[in-house]
Amino acid sequence: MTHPIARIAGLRFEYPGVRALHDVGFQLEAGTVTALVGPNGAGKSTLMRCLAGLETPALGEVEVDGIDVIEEPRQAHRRLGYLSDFFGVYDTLTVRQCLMHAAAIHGVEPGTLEAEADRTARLLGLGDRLEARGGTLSRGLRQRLAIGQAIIHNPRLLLLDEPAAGLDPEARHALAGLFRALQASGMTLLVSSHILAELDQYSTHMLVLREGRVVEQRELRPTAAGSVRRLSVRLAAPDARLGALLAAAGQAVALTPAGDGATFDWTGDEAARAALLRSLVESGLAVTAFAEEHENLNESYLRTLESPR
Amino acid sequence: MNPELRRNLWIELSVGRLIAVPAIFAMVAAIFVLREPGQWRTALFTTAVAVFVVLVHFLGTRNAAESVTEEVRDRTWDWQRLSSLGPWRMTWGKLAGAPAFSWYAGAICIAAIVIASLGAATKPTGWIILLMVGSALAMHGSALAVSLQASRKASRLGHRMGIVLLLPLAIGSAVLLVNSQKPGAGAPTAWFGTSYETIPFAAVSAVVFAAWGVFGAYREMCRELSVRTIPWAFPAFSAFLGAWLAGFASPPATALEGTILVGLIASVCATYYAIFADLTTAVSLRRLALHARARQWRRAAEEVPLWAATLAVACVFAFAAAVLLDRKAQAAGTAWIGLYPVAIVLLAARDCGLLVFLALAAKPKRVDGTTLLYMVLLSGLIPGVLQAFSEPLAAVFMPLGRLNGGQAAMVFAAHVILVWGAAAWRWRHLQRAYDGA
Repeated sequence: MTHPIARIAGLRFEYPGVRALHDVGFQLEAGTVTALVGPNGAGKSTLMRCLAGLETPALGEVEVDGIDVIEEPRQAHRRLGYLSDFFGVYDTLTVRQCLMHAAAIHGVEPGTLEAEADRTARLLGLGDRLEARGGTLSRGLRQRLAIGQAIIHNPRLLLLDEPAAGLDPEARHALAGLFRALQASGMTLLVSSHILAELDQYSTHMLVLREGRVVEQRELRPTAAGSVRRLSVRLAAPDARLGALLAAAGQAVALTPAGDGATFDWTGDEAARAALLRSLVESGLAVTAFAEEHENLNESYLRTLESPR
Repeated sequence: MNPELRRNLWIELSVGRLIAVPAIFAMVAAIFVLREPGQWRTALFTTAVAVFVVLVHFLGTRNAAESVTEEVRDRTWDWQRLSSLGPWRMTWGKLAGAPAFSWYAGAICIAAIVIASLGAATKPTGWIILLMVGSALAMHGSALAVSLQASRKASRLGHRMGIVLLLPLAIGSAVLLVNSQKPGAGAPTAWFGTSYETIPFAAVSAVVFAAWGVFGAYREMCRELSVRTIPWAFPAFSAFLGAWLAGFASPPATALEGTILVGLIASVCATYYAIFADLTTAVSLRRLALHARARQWRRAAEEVPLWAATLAVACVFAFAAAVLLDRKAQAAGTAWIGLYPVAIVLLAARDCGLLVFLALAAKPKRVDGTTLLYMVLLSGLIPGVLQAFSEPLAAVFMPLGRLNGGQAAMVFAAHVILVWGAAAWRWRHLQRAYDGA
């Protein structure tokens, strides 16, 4: 049973003459990775900064792990980590010192600072750079150090704004692995990126923001019973009975133009799905494929953007 | 250990620096001491005070101010704002840490002063050290507070103005310290009619101002770290400053009269300082309005601009001053002088209105710089030019010194109505823009 680790209600944020967020509301379930996507200027970074308690909204409520971020930002900061899209690291401090400082200011026990710095550095592949100064690191290594600073205190919620910007493909792949590992450890992630293929590797949910409004929030790979899945049927040859049989099973179907297949949303369980396949075969249809379709993040996002406002 | 202090110590105190400072100080002191070996105490004392002023007062103040602006520039400030450190720990971590190198050098200077004073019966060494440390801390705290305000506003004007305001404190304490050993330095200071020895009086004052400076830095840190506060501290400081300065008012003014009149001047000056140093935007004003509309009074009070709070204090002083001056005017038979304080506050209210009017522009740019330009135009340049043609016409823009108190108050009241009316028009326009969004 999951519970919301972040809750936003009626969030309104304004810049001079412009409303950046229009009474935004949503929840993030614990242990999920949510891809925050939307066009430039949709309000993604502003939303993240409000969640992190770095900006004061005009109206609304922001809670992280039950803590009111607006009322008690210092308490909330123990429970969240945030990587800004424009971050800096201390050029004159070593990697070890940067990580120890990040741990200390987030309330990690003083006696464990060095051990936590070592652990985090190893996790991010910085174990052999602990004595290197921040100013001497490459762009990719600085990015890893910044992520290390954001996660060293094991936050319940991790906010990442364009975490893979400027990284090479290998580093991006490693980053995806890290995010999956963090999710597996129980952390909840909200990741904003323009590289949807990268988000697709580890995101479980999608939150689409357009012109400061949430236009969709949904699960990308449904696993729970009762979740909506997209199924497709393919026949060896067109058969006019396909539509009627699926309709009889209570499905709103979209037939292929040639009439040799269909796609439809399915909410039944595995037994009901098997029963449907059996009925199609027993009716004499030449079924060549009966499978769940996985819409990737890019397709989901584009479909959402193309939907009427 | 305070994490922010430790981070600064990592940066500031390298082994090389720890060794170099006493070595360099010893060499500098030797130059002056060896010139007049018979006067080695005075030479060592003066050298130590001078080095302290340079390294702790000036370099330390710069480092305290840079402790935030540097982080903003290097994009590390958001990390700090995201920390779970409270504003007090962050404040003292920065105040002790950023000038740590200066304080290390300062400790050597203090040790040298103590050595130079051993056996010299007349020198009030303890008070001098207290004055040195107190004034340095006052400057560091104020510099950090100013720096926090300026970084929030991303304004060079506010930063420069804050530094300019620190200069009297810096120069005053430096002059006092350097001259503390000269003949006549022991002349008493009269404050509220009582004589005090100058150095002890300055030392105690410095400690009190240090407390205000550190408290100011703490309050600004609260705002920066999103810890919500109601803006009472700055108006309270302006009232305190007025009361402290009033102590130097010459007789025949009584303590109460001095406090009221100097308090008015101090609170009006504080209002002008807040206009340029504090951040006023359409967004913050709208947050105030939204919270007030929702009857969330505490949240609304948190959004009240500093200039509004100090202007309220100035209004209280102006009312008291008006009553006071009116009584004197009646006794002396001079009419309307009692309304001069009201005119001055109305002038400040007009200039606050200018700020709001410009802040509410659809695309506000350089609001404080433009406000300053408008103020100079309305109060200086335009009446200056008109004076050559018609004094009454010039008085329409700047009645102070041209009209009596009552007329001046009426002219400025008209200014207030016009400027705030224009601001209200922009406000309504802005509301429509938001509501249509």
